[in-house]
Amino acid sequence: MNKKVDDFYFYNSPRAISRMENMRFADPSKTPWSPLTKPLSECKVSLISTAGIHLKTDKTYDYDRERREPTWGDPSHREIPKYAKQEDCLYTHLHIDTSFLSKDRNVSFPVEIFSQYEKEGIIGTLSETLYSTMGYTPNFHPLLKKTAPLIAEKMKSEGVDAAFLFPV
Amino acid sequence: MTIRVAVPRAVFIQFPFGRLLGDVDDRDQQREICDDMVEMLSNANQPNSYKHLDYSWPDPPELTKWRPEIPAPLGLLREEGKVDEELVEKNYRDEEREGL
Repeated sequence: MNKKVDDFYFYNSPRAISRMENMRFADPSKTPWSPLTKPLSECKVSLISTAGIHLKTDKTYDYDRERREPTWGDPSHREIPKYAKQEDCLYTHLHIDTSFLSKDRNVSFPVEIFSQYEKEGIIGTLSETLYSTMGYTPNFHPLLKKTAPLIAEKMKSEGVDAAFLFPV
Repeated sequence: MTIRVAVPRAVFIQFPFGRLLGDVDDRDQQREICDDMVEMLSNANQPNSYKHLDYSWPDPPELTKWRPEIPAPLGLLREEGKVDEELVEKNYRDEEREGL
C-alpha cells in the first residue's frame, strides 16, 4: 500500500501543473476539524458531487453564461432528493465526459451504494437531500462564501452528521 | 491539490475524471472504494488525515476516455487559438473579488 497518487496522470497538462504549483498552501494548522461524536451507524450522512447534476425538473447550470464568458463557471448548487432515481437527473458538467455518469451515477455519485449502507446499518440514514455543484469554477470565491454556507445550513437543518464529497 | 487546500480527511485515487469510484456497473469496485472512504471517516482522529488508495486503472491514460465529445467553451476557443492565457490565469485566483 505504498502507491502515491499522481494528480496529473490522466491530465498531464503543463498549464494545469503550473497552476497548481502556484497555488498557495493553506495553513494545515488551521484545517477545520469536527470529530465524529457517535458511531457511523447512528449518523445521518449526505453526499455532494461536483458533476453538475440536477433534477430534470430543476433549472440547469448557467452554461449560456459560460459560453459567453469561458473563464466563468456557475458556482451555484442543486439539491437532489435522496429518492430521486438515476433517470430523474441530468449529468451536465461540460469539462468531463458525463456519459458514464448518465449510465450509472455510482461511478462518481454513489447514491445506490449509500442507500445500501443505510439498509445494512453501516450508516444511520442517508440525508433527505443530496447535493451537486458544477466543478468548473475558476473563481471559487462565490462557491466558498455563498454556496457552501447554503449547503451547510440545509445540512444542519436536516441534522446531517457527516458528508462525503465526490469531486469529479 | 487537496493537500494544498487542507481538508479534515481525504482519500486519493488515481482514476480518471468522472469515474472516481470505478467503471459503469462495476458495483463491487465502487463499493470497495466507498468502504475506504467510510473507513477514513470512522478512523481519522485528527485534521489533514490523508490516504493514497492502492488501486490502478486498467487502461493507460492515452486509452482512457474522460474528456467530453464536445470540448468545453474554453477548450473550443483554445482550439481556435483565441484564448488569452494570461486572462485565464488571472481568473484562477483564490483572492476575494467583487462582482462575480
